[in-house]
Amino acid sequence: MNFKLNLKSLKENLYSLILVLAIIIVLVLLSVFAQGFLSVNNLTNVLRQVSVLGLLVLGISPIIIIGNIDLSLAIIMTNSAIVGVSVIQRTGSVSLGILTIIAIGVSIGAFNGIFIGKLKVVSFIVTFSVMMVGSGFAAWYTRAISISNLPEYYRLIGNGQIGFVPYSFIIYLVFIIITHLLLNDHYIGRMIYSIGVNPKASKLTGIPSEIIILFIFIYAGLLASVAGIIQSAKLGSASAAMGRQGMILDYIAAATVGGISIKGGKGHVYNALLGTFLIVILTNSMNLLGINYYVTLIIKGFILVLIVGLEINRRKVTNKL
Amino acid sequence: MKKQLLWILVLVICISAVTVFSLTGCREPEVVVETVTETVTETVVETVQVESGEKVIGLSLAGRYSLAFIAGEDYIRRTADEKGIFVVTTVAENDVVKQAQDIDDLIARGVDCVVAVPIDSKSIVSSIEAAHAADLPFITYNRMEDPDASERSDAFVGQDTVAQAYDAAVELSKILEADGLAAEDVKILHIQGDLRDENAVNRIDGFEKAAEEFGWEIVAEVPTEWNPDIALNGTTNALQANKEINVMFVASDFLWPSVKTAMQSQDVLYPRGEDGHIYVASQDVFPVGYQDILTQLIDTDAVFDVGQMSVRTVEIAEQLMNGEELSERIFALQGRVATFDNVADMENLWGKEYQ
Repeated sequence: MNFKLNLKSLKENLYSLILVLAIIIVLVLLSVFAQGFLSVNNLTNVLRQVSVLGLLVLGISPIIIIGNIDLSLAIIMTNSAIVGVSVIQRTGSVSLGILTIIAIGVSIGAFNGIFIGKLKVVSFIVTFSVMMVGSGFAAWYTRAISISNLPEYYRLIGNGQIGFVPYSFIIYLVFIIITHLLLNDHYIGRMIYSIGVNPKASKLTGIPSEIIILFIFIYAGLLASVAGIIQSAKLGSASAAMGRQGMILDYIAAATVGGISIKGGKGHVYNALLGTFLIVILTNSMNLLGINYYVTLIIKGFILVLIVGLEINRRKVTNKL
Repeated sequence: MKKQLLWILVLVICISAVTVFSLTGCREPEVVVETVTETVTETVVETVQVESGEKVIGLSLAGRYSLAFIAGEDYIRRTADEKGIFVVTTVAENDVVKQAQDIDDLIARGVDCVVAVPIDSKSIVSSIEAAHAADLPFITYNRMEDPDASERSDAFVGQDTVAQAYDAAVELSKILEADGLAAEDVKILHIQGDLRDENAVNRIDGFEKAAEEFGWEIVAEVPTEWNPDIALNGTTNALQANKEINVMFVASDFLWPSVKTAMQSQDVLYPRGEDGHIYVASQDVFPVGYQDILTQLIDTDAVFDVGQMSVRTVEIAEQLMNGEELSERIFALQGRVATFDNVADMENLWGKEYQ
């Protein structure tokens, strides 16, 4: 990470530091009051939950940075897992199944990217439609029957761990590094931020925005398919009931709360990481405290509104500098 | 800058306040605070625990969108309360991923037994494995895990949902025969639940099995996703397009208010005995369904015995938490079908008792 030594950058990083402080305070309170919160078992749980949601958040982050949205990531995760797992079940080949899962995720991502980047259809409409089609496909393909009987070594992806660190979290860390390098150390990253700040100016300067948009939606589809691999491995099955509407809210909220600007043009990988941990810890702690699920939704919504308000206010202040 | 800091301070205070509030306002029963002082080099830790010796059931619900599930949870809490057992509830909103995470959280919390309404009979197996790895008993409620699963729950409490629908249709056949409606003249509108829900699919199978046996024709189907709006629009459209419909299979009384409204709008809502009556076979005997059995708008209604299931579940959980061995593993309650002739005298009917 490059921390430029100027006041504007300090203010932006101050936001993230304060968010970390808020998380630490909540963690301290939870460690005292939430039974089992600090147990090794729970820590492993949290890391496992972070890895699945985190991959979706990593996928949505560049999309939000360029000023778009993707409502289809959860259904990409579900459908790629359903088809891939059925390939594993029928052929007995885990590698073929994994390739199928990734191919489907990438293909749907490409579909989104073409319609949004090339044909200029609004991202909300395209991804919402894909979500609807995907839901119908999942229900039709499975007829409410889960596809299971997976080999134990496939299930290790979702259930295995080294010490208290799940394999899935290690996979997530790898993608964090890749995404960080992409956004921060590669010219593609600079193009992504440029498009997010000013799409028209970017086009005028010769940035191939259609190709960049296609690329980031494909990348998001890839990450969603990897989430599908991990989730189906953890559950030992794939079904149409994986990842419903609640997951969409979680991954968008995590990205936004973590500091990926909804106005586009700003955000880092560590924002995605921060937001993911916050959302997962919130849900985990509410379960440990025995708090009513609907109260949890109210709290999540309240925090989201507060954080977004803070973010908008912060941008007004920093833009004045 | 000051304004920003103020916002941030408000945020921190709100998060902290919500956390503290939820401890004092939302937890039951009253908690006992114990202070455990470790050695000088270790941290002083305060832990909040339930009253010492109290057992805790972790209840994982599939959702709270149906009164039957809410009633079931209430009966479980009431029964548990009488026995001095504490219940912690999570709601998965029909998402198998969330249910798996919820159960992991319950196990981490340190419950003494897990009771789950599985969203999916195969996905729940990983949670059963996790509970058993933590040496916790696991009870499946309302839906059983996959019978071919490598890891089985310690007990299942529920009903056969295929038989539930089938029995309702069989009772309906007796009514149709009594009223002189020939099998070849039966034209059915089949209002279905969510095609992603195993129990809904089982009910479809039960109804269709009966229809095939009796030689009835299903002229229209309305999959509703357990959504009352979809049920209303779908039923209205089906009744408009198929004037010959004289029988309805309804997946659950949960959908009945919407179906009834649709029938009213199409002027086909008449009790049995009046011209134009459409025969209705439904499921679950919700309070609203109970009322309309008495008014003879619903002809047969298979009972979803949520009260008995809940009481039995807590009894079995108590036995398992005390380390007792169960005489059997599957506790399938006897199905009953309510009709106008027997519903008023039926005992332990949650639709009659639960308000």
